[in-house]
Amino acid sequence: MKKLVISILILVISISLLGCDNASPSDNGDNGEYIEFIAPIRIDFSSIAPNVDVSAITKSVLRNMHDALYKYNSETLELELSLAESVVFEDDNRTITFKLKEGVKFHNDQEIKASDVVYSFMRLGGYTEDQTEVIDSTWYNLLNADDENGPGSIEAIDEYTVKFVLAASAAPSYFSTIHHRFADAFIIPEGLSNQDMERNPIGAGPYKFVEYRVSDSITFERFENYHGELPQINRVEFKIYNDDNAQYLAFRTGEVNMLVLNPANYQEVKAMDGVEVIEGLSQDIRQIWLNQREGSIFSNPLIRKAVNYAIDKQRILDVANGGLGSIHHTHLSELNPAYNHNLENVYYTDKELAIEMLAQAGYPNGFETSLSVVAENELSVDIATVIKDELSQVGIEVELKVLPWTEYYQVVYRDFNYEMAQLQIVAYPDAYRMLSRFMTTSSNFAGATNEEYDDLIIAAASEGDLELQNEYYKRAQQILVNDATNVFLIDQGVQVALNEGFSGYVNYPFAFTDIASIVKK
Amino acid sequence: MYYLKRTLTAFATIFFVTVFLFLLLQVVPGDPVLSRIGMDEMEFNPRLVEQLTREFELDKPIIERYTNWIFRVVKGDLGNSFNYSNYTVNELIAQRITTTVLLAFLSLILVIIIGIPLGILLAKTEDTLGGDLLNAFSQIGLALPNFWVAIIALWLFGSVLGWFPIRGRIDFNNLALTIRSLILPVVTLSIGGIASVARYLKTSLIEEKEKDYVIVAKSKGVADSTIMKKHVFRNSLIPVTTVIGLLFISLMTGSIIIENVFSLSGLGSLLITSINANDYPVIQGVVLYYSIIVVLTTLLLDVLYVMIDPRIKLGKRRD
Repeated sequence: MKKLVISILILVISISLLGCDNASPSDNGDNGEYIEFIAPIRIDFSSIAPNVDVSAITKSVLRNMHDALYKYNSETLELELSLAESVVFEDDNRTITFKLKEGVKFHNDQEIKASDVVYSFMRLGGYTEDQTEVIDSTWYNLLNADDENGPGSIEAIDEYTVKFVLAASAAPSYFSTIHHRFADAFIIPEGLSNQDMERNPIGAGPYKFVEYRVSDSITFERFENYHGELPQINRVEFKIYNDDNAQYLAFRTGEVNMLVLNPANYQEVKAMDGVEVIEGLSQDIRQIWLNQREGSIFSNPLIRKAVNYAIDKQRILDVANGGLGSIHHTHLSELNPAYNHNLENVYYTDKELAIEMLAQAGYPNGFETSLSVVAENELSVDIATVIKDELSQVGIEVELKVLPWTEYYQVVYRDFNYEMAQLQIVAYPDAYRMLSRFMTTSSNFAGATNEEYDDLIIAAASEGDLELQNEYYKRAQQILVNDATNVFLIDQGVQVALNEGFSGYVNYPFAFTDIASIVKK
Repeated sequence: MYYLKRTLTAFATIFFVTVFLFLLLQVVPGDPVLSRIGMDEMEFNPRLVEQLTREFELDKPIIERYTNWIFRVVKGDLGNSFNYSNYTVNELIAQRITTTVLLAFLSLILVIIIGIPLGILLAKTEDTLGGDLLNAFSQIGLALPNFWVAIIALWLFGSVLGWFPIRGRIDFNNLALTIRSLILPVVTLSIGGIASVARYLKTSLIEEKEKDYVIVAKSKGVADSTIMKKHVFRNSLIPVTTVIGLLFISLMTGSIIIENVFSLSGLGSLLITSINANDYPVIQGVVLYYSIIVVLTTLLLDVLYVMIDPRIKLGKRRD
């Protein structure tokens, strides 16, 4: 009898446990369906205050909560005005005046005014009383009131008009790409400190903050007074899964609705019923940097070209990345409007030609060198193994140096203590930001110098005509490739799966998991 | 005197752990500022780099940093996290310690309620086919790495059968979810402990059964069950008590991996995140917590052991 009672009790508890926590709000009163979406993320945020944590994962999540003067159109992926209804760029290339849309509200239902915009930008530059730490160096430089060549400033002309005067020293470097900078600067209510924003962040985006459990999850709810088109999903939770296998299993069981795929699970997930896989390019540039400072073997352009001809990029794509993604030919993604399509056939795989070039350069029997790789980046290590094999076929014996990121950063990236180094550069839609890193400066990682290249990038930065600007960037890329500055490798691509009838994920050219673009079919 | 000496040794151990750990973190390559703001800001925002270097006290000599830190620790302040910009180390630990302790404590209970009967069964069925099979299972339990068992359990019970959530959550407002979230991690974490307690108890019981007093009792006609219950089992439990104490330490540290596999937010997952982010104050804080738990548990065990067997205190025990 006693055993029977215990068994019944266990059964009742088990049934209640299996059922209890699956309860969810099933309806919100309008059209009957309350749609929830759960997305997994790999790591926690170091801060949820806007623009403070600059890691890609944090940005990709928090963008859902915020809005800016400009934003990217989810269909054309082009920049358009968002919180502003009009903008005037003066001919002095320093003065920009925005007229704000009237009636647009923050999540606390307070209307967005010019003073909020002024506060938001001053905060980013570290110029407010409670925010003396620079959050974004761009705005520290552009709003620098002590600039001797012409001070920077921002002021509210009236309730809905904001005028920027960019600091004269910094303006030329930023002016042509300033739209991108505006799109990255989130607008928050005047007076809210970082402390406030850490506990209860307020923005003007399509989703408002509900709850953040440190190391666990962050939850947003649709902002019903959003000034743009209301998203379909009512509630979204980004859950932290520390383990990739757990993320995959959670997707299989429907515990999460989204999964960023990798070559190991790509085929299996793609074959699942009711799963939509969206594929695109990550636009991050994986490449081998060749240290061409004086005295280095790679200061000889013939050797750099030989290395470019020796490496079979398609094999890298197939062996290391399961054939996913695409091959890179320059330091811009093929999706960037400034991308130079004429460079795609400059280097092809020709090991005989590579050997010939090495002989011409005085190395008929090849030489020994090293390739530094970031240890934490598994794909980089796999790629490096293929490269070692490829180069050994033309007589270049490569020693792999697999270094932890922090050591790599100091030794390789900062002290230039390397011969060949593999490093992935995170993509930005702004071509200046991508290409200016090859200008002749002391921080140029490859140590490349080319005056014509420098002139073209400077000319592009101060050019207002977009077509002409892109023409300068294309010519600059031609120089990069002709000089064989680097070996541009692959874009590993982005493969995102959605289950349970969700659809419409947009692959942006920067870190953003845009929940507003996702719909339930 | 013995207790005082033992307590002083415990404090000295904790102190040396803090010194060793602090020095170790200075030697290991890593830049907390780089981890916090990333490559781009390191390059283009020297002002922020300078501010954070100052804020993290990285511009001060090691001895000054250590002294500042240890004085704060004595006052109960473990400092601010480098990575979680708006949280103190105390806040971060307080948010997570319940998960880790709960996981270790529940696992310990499971180890006791399964390990001890299993040990008795192993001893009783020695030299039988059933006993050999049980023995083989207990050996497998010892040999299997718990992270592997965790992944397999997650796949089988979470994904294939769908009985448990893949990702757990400890939330006392949702008790059902909390219980479902804990079952797989607790079972996974306990498997090694169950096997080890069972095997230890089995050996101890067999050894005890062969002692002279058992033979004398048997010759006097005392029933086997009475000898087992009143003498053999009790005496055999003394060494097992020590093993169980040490197991608690092992369960606390073992949860570091288990928490990560099950994405539970405990001290273990905090430690891993902090190591990846070079978040020195949090690493120091969490390791300090772990060392205090380890040292206090061993201290408690020593005290218990002396209470059970006073010969240890007098240094007279030779066997």
